Amino acid sequence: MTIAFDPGAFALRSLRRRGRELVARRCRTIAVTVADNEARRRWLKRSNLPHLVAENFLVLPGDAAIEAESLFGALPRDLLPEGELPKSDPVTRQVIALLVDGMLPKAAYPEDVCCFAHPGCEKRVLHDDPTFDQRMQFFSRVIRLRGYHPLPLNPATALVLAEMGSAGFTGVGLALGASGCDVAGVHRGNQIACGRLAWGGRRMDEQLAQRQPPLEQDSAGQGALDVEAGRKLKETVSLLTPETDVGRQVVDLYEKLIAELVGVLYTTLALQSQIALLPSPLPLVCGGGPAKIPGFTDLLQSKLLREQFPVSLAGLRLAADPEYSVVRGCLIHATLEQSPAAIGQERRVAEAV
Amino acid sequence: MLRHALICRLSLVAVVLLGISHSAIIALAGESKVIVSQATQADTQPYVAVIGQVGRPGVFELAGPLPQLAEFLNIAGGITPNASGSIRLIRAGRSSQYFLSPKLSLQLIPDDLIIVESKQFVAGRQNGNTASANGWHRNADMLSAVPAPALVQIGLINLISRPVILDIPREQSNLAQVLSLLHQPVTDKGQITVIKPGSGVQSVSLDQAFEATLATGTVLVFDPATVNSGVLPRLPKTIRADADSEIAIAKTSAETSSQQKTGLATGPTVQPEPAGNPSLLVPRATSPDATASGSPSLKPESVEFSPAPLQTAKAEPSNANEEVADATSDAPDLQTLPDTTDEQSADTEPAAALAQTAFSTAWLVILTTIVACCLGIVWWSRSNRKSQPVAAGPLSEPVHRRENSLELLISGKLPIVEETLQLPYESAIFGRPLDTSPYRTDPAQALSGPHYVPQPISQPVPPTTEEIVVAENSRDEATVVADRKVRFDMRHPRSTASVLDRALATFEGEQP
Repeated sequence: MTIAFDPGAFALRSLRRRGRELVARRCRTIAVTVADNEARRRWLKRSNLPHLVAENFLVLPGDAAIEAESLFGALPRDLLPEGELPKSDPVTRQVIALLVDGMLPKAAYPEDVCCFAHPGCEKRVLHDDPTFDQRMQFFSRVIRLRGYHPLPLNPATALVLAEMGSAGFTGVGLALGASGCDVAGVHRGNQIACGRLAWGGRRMDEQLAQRQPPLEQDSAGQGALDVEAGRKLKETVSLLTPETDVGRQVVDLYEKLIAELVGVLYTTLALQSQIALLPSPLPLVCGGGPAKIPGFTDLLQSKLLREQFPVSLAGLRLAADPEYSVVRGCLIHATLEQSPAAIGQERRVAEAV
Repeated sequence: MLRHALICRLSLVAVVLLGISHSAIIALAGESKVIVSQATQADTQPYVAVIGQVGRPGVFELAGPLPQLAEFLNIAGGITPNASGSIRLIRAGRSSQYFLSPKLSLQLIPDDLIIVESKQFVAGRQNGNTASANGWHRNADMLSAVPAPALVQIGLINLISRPVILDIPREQSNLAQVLSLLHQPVTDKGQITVIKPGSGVQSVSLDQAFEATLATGTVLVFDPATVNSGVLPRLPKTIRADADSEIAIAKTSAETSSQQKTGLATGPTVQPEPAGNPSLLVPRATSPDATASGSPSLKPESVEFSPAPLQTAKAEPSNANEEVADATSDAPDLQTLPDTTDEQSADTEPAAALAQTAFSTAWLVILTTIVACCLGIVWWSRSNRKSQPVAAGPLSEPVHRRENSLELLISGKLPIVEETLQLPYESAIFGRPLDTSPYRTDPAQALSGPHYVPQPISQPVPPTTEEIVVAENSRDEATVVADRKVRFDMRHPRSTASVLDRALATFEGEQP
């Protein structure tokens, strides 16, 4: 069984094919930690909320954390802050591993491939090198524990695979995420250039959350920013017609993001000499949560027109399904990379069905 | 079954249509000659030739009113940067010179031949290096500093009913070689008028022909009475100017004398353009010298020594005039051609050719029908095999299904169904969680925005104004705050028990 996995800073997503449909699983990459006591255990049992029991603490991962926030007045925290795996936090790693177990069904055969989105240009999976990207190492191990062969893929490349099949898998992808934005130039499905902007929608949410008058406070009296409220506030604004102060602030934040993103795009294309060999003009596609806001493509298009790129770009468009485009591209990559043995096993499964 | 029936019917219809179309071809085969003749009849376009420094030198077939000189040069691709601006016009066997200027208004007439001279030639002439009065051997192109081109371009007038442009190799650029290439007999009485570049008109007897070197821009004016058109090779094709493209017109039929433009021909009869005689592939050697120099060759695209493709009659015509009579026997205009042909052969030749054409066409129809039937049978059998129940193996159908689903996946047409994430109700993990929220506000430091604090704060923080106010109200409570290293504002006073604990306690108290 081929499967795709997108461990994003905002949400985890998986996608697999079942007959004539794609089955998706999704959960937020957050967790709530509350003190363990009998009353809460009874409440959890009554609510049937999945949870983890640590030393005198209860951890509610994923979407259960959203319910626990309202139930227990606890503030959820990111499991992948800034998109990175927290160091010296074994509990968080175990929580992520539990979520990954839930996202990925057990592999049916050893040759099954799981392509997962991984920011950056590294495509190898190394297990013995301790200095290697720990995030990739961690997810590769967890995926292997589920019986799959891990296959990392840049999110922007995955976006091109998902959205530019008709263009021969050739183009430029802009994957905007919560923790960062990835840029990739792809030719016939091969990534030939990539770059990353180290901040994304989450930082904009924080800036907007600062405008919110009330500070959230958990049961222990800790004050914190209501970043979730900032995100919801952001999604109510249109970049085309900013009428309120919040709208203008959102436009300012997006202009800053786009300006830096275009700079990364220019650097990525300018540093890679193979870009000149690509067909011209190159189509662009953008996707991800921050790109869903109305007017984003218009704003990005206006910025792109002002820049002189080493290769002509044309045809910017938004991904058809920004929520699942990246993971769908990963699924395409996994399907194309699947070994013949696994294909034969799938045939036998289909025959049995 | 419906599919099989449809395929069978389509195959049957295709075969029937094929047969009908070929029957029509057979029926029309006899009229093909007439069609050719009619096309020839209607082909009365005037010709103007140009050589020298233009983009497309050659003989142009012009449609409609003849253009001015400047317009015609544009049609011919415009003058090249090497053009001097000096133009020579050969009209009715006479040469006149013009200089290109915006005021120049020169109306062309049919069979004009224009020579656009190069800068090198004009410079050489101005330096006094031009050909002398008897200087045939003084090639104008040799006067220039640049290397001379390998081909020499000359014009021929009155050879056929239109001007002819020939590109010949430089080593063969003498009159004798040209006449040999044209298969023209060298007789004592014959004379050719040679218009040399820059030296006026000179008549040359054929006994001087072997010494006469021809330069680019030389024009040979033949006496039509002495031209033997029956042995002429196939001449260079003309360029159709109205299509604005280099579509060459292979004129395979003869032109009649009525197509000659009034007052332009220098002789009483201008020979039509020949189709080329297959029996004359090897040029005749006009002299021992010419023979010793080997068979002269022309530029391949200029003069073709290929046999006439249309005629496959049993009896070959004795000369090209017979072919003229064959091809244009139905044309009334051709009756004015001086009749030097055998009328009997003119009657029998089309019939023989027609019979052979019909015979070969019939064979072609039969063969095509057989092949079409075979293809239809093969197609039907293959499609019938595909529609049979799968007996080869059970894996065939899943493979087909997988390819389709991959295409659908790439095209994004597969619907996405979200299913609920199933996690175990309770799992045990090890370790102590970092019970701190990563996002803190720090109004005392007046930061512009929030910042991520990966580790819990370990150093004591001095109390803020709000905390001091709290401390004044309750010193014990402020101490607790300092110990916990937690900020809070006055709008959310801290309580000893959490909201949830109190809610749970209340809830449990209400439970029976």
